Amino acid sequence: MGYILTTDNITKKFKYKVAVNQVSIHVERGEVYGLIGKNGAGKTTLLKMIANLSFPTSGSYTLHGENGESQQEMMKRIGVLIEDPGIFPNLSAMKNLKAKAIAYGIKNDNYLVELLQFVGLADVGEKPVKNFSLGMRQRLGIALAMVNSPELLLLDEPINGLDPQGIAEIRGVIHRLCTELHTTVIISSHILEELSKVASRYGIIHDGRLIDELTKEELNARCTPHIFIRAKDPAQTSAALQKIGVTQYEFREDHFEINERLDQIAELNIQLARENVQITELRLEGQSLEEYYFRLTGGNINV
Amino acid sequence: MSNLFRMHIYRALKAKSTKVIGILLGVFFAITLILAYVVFENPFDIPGDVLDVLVGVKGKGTVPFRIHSFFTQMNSPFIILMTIFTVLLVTSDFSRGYVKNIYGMFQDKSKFVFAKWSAMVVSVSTIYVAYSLLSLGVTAICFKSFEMECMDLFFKSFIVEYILLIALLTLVFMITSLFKSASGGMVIGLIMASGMMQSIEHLLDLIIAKITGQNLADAAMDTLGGTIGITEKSGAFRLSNYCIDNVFLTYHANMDYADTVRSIIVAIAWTAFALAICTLLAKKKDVRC
Repeated sequence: MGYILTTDNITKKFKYKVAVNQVSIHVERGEVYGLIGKNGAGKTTLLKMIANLSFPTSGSYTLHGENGESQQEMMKRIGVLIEDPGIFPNLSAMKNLKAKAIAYGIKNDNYLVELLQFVGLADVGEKPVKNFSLGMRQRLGIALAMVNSPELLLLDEPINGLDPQGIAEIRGVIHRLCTELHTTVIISSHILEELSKVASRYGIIHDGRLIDELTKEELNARCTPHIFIRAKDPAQTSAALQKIGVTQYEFREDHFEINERLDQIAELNIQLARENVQITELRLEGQSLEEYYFRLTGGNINV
Repeated sequence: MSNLFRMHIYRALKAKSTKVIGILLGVFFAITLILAYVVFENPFDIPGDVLDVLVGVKGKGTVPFRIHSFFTQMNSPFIILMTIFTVLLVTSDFSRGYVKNIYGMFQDKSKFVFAKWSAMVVSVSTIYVAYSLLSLGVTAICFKSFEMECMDLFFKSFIVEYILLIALLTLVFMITSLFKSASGGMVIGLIMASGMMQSIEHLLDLIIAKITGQNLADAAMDTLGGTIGITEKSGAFRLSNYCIDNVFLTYHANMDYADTVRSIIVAIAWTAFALAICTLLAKKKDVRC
C-alpha cells in the first residue's frame, strides 16, 4: 500500500510549551488512523501542521513521499475538520457546501447533492444550519471537508459532545468513507472506545510525544486475553494456584490475572473451590484500548 | 485566487449581516435625504455661511459635488456602515472556523489575503458607486435647486474620496486581521471612522507645534479648520495631515492641488502599508481560529 503521510520528528514549540515533540507517525493509504491522547496532548496541533495551518518549529512531513510543505497540489486534496465544522449558521447545508465548492472551482451542484446524500443530509432542504442537531452539523462538517474529494481527511474530535446516535452516524460515515471512497482518514479523539471501533492503526500521543504507534492486530496481540479472579484471601489463592500447577499469573492490586488455561475456566473454578478458595469474581477478559492506553500513560483517567 | 474571491463575494451576498447593512444604508439614505432637503432647499432661510459649514464644502447652490460629499462623507453613517461591513467580511470565516477548511490549501497564504481584500474592494466600490449615483439621481429629481454644474469638482471629489475610502477600509481590514476578532476590529474601526481619533491627532499636532515653538494659533487653525471646511493653511508640518482617518474626514473638493495630491499619496501609502502587514501576518503566523 505505501504511506500516504509520514511525519519526521515534527515539533511545534510555543512560548511556554512544547505542544508536539519530535513526533513521527506513519499513515498508510486507505486506512483509518486513530490519534489517541488526552486533552492538550498535542493532537490538534499535529493535525494543524499536517493541514498546513500551523508551521512546524522543526521536523517535516511527507505526502506521497514528497515534502508536504512543497506539495501545493496535494494540499488541495486534504480535507480538514478541525475542532469546529466551520459552517455559516444562517445558510442551508447546500449553500454552505456551495460556498466551499466555489473556493475550489467546483461548479457541479449534483456532486454537492451526492455529498449531502453520502452524509445522510439529503432531506434537509433549505433549513438553516443553525437549526441542525450537533450530529447533523458534524456530518455537514465532514461533507464540507470532502468537497474537494480529498485523499486524506483530517478529523479532529468529530464525535465530541455527540449523543450515542450521533456517534453511530459519524462512525457509519467514516466507515463508508473508507470502504466506498477509499479515503485515508486520520481521526483524533479521547473517546477511546469509539476510536477502537473505527481505526485500523493507532498513534498514542502523551504530553506532545508519540509514545506508541501500532496496528489493530498489534494492539490485539498486546491486549492478550486472561482470566480475572478476585478472591477473599489473596495469599491463600496464590498458594492454591501454585498447588494446582498454574504458573503464568500476576497479582494486580486486588485481583489475579491468569494467562494460561483460558479455555478451562470452569475446571479452574472447581479446582480452586476444592482448595477452599472463596472466589468473589471470576471471568475471562481482554484488555481494551482504554486499559492499554492507561497502562502506557500511567493511568491518567482524564482522557 | 479568483475562486477564493468568488467565494467571498458569494458568502457576503448570502450573509444576513450584509442584508442588515443594506437595510441600514437605506434608512440612513432616507434620513440624509431629509437633512439634504433642509440644507439645500433651505426652507428655513439659513444664512449662506452657515449653509457652507453644514454642507462642509464651500460653493454655490445644489451641485453634484456638494450633494456627493454631503451623502458619503459629511454624514458619517455611510463610512461607519462600510467599516462594519469590512470587519464582518474579514472575521466571518475566522469566527466560524470556516477558514480552517480552506486556508491550508495555499502554500502562499498572501493569496488568501488578496482574495478577501479584493472582495472587500469590489463590494465597497459597488456600494459607493450605487449610493453616490442614487443620491445624485434622487436629488436631481426631487430638489428644485439642483443644478448640473461644477462637474470637474464632482469627479475630483468622487475619485479622491473613493481612494481615501478604500485606504481607510484597508487599514480597518489590517487591524481586524491582526486582532482576528470582530470586536477588536469593530472598536478601532469605528473609532477611526467616526472621527474620534481626530481629537487625539489634533492634540498631537498642537503638542508638536508647542514643542517646536510654532505659533499655536496657526496650528489650531490648520488642524481644526479642516473639519469645518477652512482651506487656508500655514504650510507647517501637521501629523494629522498624514493620518488616513483625518485625511478622509477633512477632504473636500475645494482643496488645492498640493493638498489633493498629498491626500492621494497618503491614501496609497496607507493602503500599501496595510496590505504589506496583512501579507506578512499571513505568511508568518499560524492560523488562529
